[in-house]
Amino acid sequence: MGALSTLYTSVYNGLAGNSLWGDRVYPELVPAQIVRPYVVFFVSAGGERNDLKRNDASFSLVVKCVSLQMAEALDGADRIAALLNNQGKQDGGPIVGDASWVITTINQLRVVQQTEMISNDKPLYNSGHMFNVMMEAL
Amino acid sequence: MATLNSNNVYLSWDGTRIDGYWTGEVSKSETVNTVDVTAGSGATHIERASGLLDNSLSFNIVYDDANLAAYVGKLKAGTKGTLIFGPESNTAGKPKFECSMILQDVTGPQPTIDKGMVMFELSFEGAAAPTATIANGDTF
Repeated sequence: MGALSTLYTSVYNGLAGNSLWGDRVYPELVPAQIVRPYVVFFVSAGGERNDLKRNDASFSLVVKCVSLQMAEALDGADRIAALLNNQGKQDGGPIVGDASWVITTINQLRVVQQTEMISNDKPLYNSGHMFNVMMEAL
Repeated sequence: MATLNSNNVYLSWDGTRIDGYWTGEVSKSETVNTVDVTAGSGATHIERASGLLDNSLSFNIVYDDANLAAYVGKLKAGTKGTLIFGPESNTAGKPKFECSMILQDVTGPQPTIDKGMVMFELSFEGAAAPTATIANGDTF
């Protein structure tokens, strides 16, 4: 299993089941007609670190909650932070990777805040964070 | 024929292979002091001879949380052991440096607030003449 596969599976498992968005957690693309709020995450940069002879990786991961209500989107961003920031294995958290790759640390970086218009007249709020995820092959 | 730019390094310290934890670079140095041997009353230029050769080597290894016990006992300053370095692994026929050395400086571990890599910085100084050197053409 590759590092990105481990990352996406682990992040999904870490986020799914929240009372705000349920299991509506999607990597990269959200299917049509999904009830809001939902969470979408994607890698904006990263890959092999080349710091060690064995495989290692780091990723900049964007995770955001999407809602028609700003307050709900911001609440979602807070929940995302609580579920992911400092939750890697060496952080003492539950997002540890799998048998192929360990997620050593997850570090919260900058805020992601974006508003777009849908149906010509309704604002859609995207609120979340960027994280730096460090990984090593086992 | 090609310029070596691989990281397929072999490192063994005091009987423990540690290249799996190596990061950064290996810095190997062989130096010699020069001795003033100028003689005669009419000398106009200083004359020198080679003094004693010295070897030193330094590199960094990471703090591996799962395998620390496998090598941390070798990281005591003052330890005298055999250091073996192969810039192209330990494949038979590849260049080899082997020398009894003293672990002269151990710096680390040094955790950082921004979650940077935690390392040990190791410096070794020669305790005897090397038994294998790259310049002599010694190999594994």
